[in-house]
Amino acid sequence: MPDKPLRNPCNLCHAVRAILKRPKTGQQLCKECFFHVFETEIHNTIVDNKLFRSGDRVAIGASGGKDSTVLAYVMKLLNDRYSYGLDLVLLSIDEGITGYRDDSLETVKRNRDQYRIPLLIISYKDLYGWSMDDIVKEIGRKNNCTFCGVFRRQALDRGAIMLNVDHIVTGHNADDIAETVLMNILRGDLPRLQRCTSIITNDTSDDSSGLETSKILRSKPFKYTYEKEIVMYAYFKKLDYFSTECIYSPNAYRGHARVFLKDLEAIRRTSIVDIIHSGEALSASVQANESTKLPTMSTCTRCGYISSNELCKACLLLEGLNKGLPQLGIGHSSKIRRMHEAAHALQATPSSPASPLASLSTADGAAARDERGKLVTHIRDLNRLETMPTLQAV
Amino acid sequence: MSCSVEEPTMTTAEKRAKARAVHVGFCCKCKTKNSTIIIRYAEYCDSCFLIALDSKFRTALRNARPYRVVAPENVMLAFSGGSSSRSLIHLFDVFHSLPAEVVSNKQQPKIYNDIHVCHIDESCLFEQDSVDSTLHTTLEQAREIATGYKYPFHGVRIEDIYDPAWTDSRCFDGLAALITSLPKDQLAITGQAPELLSHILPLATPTSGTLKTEGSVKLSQQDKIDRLKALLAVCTTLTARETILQHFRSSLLVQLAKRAKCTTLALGDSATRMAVQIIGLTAIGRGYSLPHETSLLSDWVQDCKVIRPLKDCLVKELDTYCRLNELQVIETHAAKLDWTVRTRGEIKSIQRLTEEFITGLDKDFPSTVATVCRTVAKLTPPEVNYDNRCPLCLGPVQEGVQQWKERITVFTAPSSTSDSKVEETLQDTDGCCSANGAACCGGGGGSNTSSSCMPVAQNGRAAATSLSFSSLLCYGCLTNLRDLDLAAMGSKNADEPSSFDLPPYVAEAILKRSGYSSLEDYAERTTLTSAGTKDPQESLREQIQEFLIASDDDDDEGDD
Ligand SMILES: [Zn+2]
Ligand SMILES: [Zn+2]
Ligand SMILES: [Zn+2]
Ligand SMILES: [Zn+2]
Repeated sequence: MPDKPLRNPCNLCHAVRAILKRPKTGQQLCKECFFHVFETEIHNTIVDNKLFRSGDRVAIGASGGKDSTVLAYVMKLLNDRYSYGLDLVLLSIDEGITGYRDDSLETVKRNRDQYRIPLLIISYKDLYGWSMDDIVKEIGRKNNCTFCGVFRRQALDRGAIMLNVDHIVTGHNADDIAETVLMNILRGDLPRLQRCTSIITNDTSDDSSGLETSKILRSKPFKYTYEKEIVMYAYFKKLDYFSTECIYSPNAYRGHARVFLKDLEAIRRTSIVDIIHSGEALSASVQANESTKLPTMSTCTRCGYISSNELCKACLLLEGLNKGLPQLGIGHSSKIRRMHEAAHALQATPSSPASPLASLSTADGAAARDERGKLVTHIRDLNRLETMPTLQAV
Repeated sequence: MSCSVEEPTMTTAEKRAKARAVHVGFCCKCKTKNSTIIIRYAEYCDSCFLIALDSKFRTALRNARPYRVVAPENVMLAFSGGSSSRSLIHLFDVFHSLPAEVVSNKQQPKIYNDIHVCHIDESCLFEQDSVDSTLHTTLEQAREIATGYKYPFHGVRIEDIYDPAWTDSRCFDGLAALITSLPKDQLAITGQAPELLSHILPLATPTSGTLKTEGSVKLSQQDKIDRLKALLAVCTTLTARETILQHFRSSLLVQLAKRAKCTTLALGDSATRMAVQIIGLTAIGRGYSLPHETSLLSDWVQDCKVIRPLKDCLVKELDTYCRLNELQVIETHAAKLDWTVRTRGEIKSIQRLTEEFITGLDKDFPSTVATVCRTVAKLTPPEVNYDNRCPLCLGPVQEGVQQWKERITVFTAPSSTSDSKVEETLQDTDGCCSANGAACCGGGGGSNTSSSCMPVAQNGRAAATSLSFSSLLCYGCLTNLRDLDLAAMGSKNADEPSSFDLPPYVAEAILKRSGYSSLEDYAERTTLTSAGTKDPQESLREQIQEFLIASDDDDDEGDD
């Protein structure tokens, strides 16, 4: 150690000059100490919540953005450092958004090579017959996030099944979760408040409007990790990520909550974890009769995906798209059902299938469905799927 | 990542309500008179509005306490001076002034026996210098209003929180001085919030010139004001000041109710205020106690139920109610604390920011307030032992919060033992001590809960035994007290006093939680300690010795 006192020493090691102010605590840290606390907190989250078991096959939902890029890097690092014994794979969804997803997928491919983790890319176009660009062309920009959300949830599940994984980890960070806690209180949605605060779920509802159960566990190792620190980590580790927001607009109401959260964080930097703590405590206080409001689940009669209605939300949206009734499936479920009935009435004269999927989904496949039992697949022609996307090994 | 959340359904519901309002200009109830009042999309004439509000109040009151209850109870109405609690008094009065025949035929018997009104005068905090605090005093105005209804009136001043009389024992002559668990020079270089310990000091101090004598100690009003202001002054944020002040109000209100032998305390919280509270409490980490702090009926406080019969009424409705009934309010009644703001960064508190957020949102999405309030109605408060309450806010304490914090925000350097790979595998997840060695989790409850969170408790020279404080706090208070100015706190060895003290009720609660029956008990055992008996903390320390990192010389080494 130097004899002369350091100017601005790191608050933790006191040996090196601090180069950053930690967003979560305000401490002045050196690079190494920041990496250490950042990684250790994620490790603690994984260990304390018993997220994985040794030997688990875990898919990392990878979008090429900062969250999932850092997630892939850190998962790999911790898996090696602490010998978790996990079999990691990258899983990306190609929504088909020109200028956004095609570029970000290039990033994911580079990550695949840099981190030496195999990658599977699944596209909306292949799964549903519609890319997001197609959908926007058809319905305009309003409501397109509904489509995107519903399709993505199922797509991730489907990809996970193809990859035979036990678990999907997503890059939701503390800011996302705090924001969702606020949103759910503002909307009076207690069941969803409970699910957004639980770190590990078996449904796909964490960020979206629909509730669908899945056999595949999902978890958020970044639950307590600040967005700013993820950016900081990516910056100092010089990680390769894609930093453009989705070009199709986010909604206004969430925008209010986001601005509010940023203001709160500016007043008190612990606000984000404080809100998550509150959310967890409130979740524990939700009355039993409220929390069991999850609809009873059966399977979609068309694709076999777990659903509370006759048709799963994706199939309903697809039906609307294919029939030129894109409003179908957006909004209240009662309304959905009414429109669905209306759509059935229209079915007397079947419109020409707008996509290969439409023809697939009307084909009779009861036998095939029984064969696969409860296996969740959206497209019955699994063979076609399995040959379509190739697992891109390193 | 999360772009697909739909907007709240309220907007469509609201639009529909608007579309349905075909009789524009007419009262939606009687449909004959011209409307004079518009609340959201409903239009009322004066008399229909009053009837509607009154029935809303009655429904809430009935839900808070079923009519059938036979045992007579007294209720204390908390009157701040504002329009909401002013309406509360009037609504109670209208309700209890039922014609005799109605009362006698048991159709709608009185729910409460005697009605009392109380008020906390906060005028000493209106401005920095309370040179002439009598000028703005609100006590007499409040008394006038209460006696106008012939209700017994009970007034107290906010600074009386420092009076030994406003405690559970009604004569607790002690204060709690906070000290830090680490030497101050070390605090500065770690940038970490320290573990807080407390010393319970007899109220008589050199500054006050009052010496401890038999019986209760008398502090001058100015002395109390000075102490309160000193405490607020060491809070580095407006958020912390407002939060602590709110705890003091709650503590006083409960004491007021109990002294007047009221088993129910009625608060005038409106729906608007509740919505702000719900989001605000969430934001400051008080989600655990939130159900108690916002519900229609809370039975958390022992022997004193707290009800909020106006929690379905918008503040606009209550303002209108006051106007129609020509009810007089006290213009300036709550401490604003603006004078305490020293830097531009602290102009806004979390509470004020939340207020702006909710009012703003409610303009665009007019059901926001109602929706948020409905949320909380579906919550069941946690079941916690009342004895284990937080000494500062007197709310429920969730176990393991310090540990939770330590796990998700790490304060150890890479070289320290916590990083060793051996100790942590996926299967080894128990024990809080596994990771952080010395900074083990605090024990919850029980006697002698001087927690194990004090790595180097060598306070032999201290006049009084230092008791753990951080480990007794709820998550919200733990977070809030991070905003205390460390320089103002007493040193680890207590050879240097803190420049502020927490009031007697806090000191009393600390002692109770720490297993002392009284101030005398504490003083006695402290004397024994200094006479050579083993410090309870020392013996605890021995029990956990093996988990502690050898740190005998830590203090001296510091960082060289
Ligand atoms: Zn360092
Ligand atoms: Zn389906
Ligand atoms: Zn009318
Ligand atoms: Zn507390």
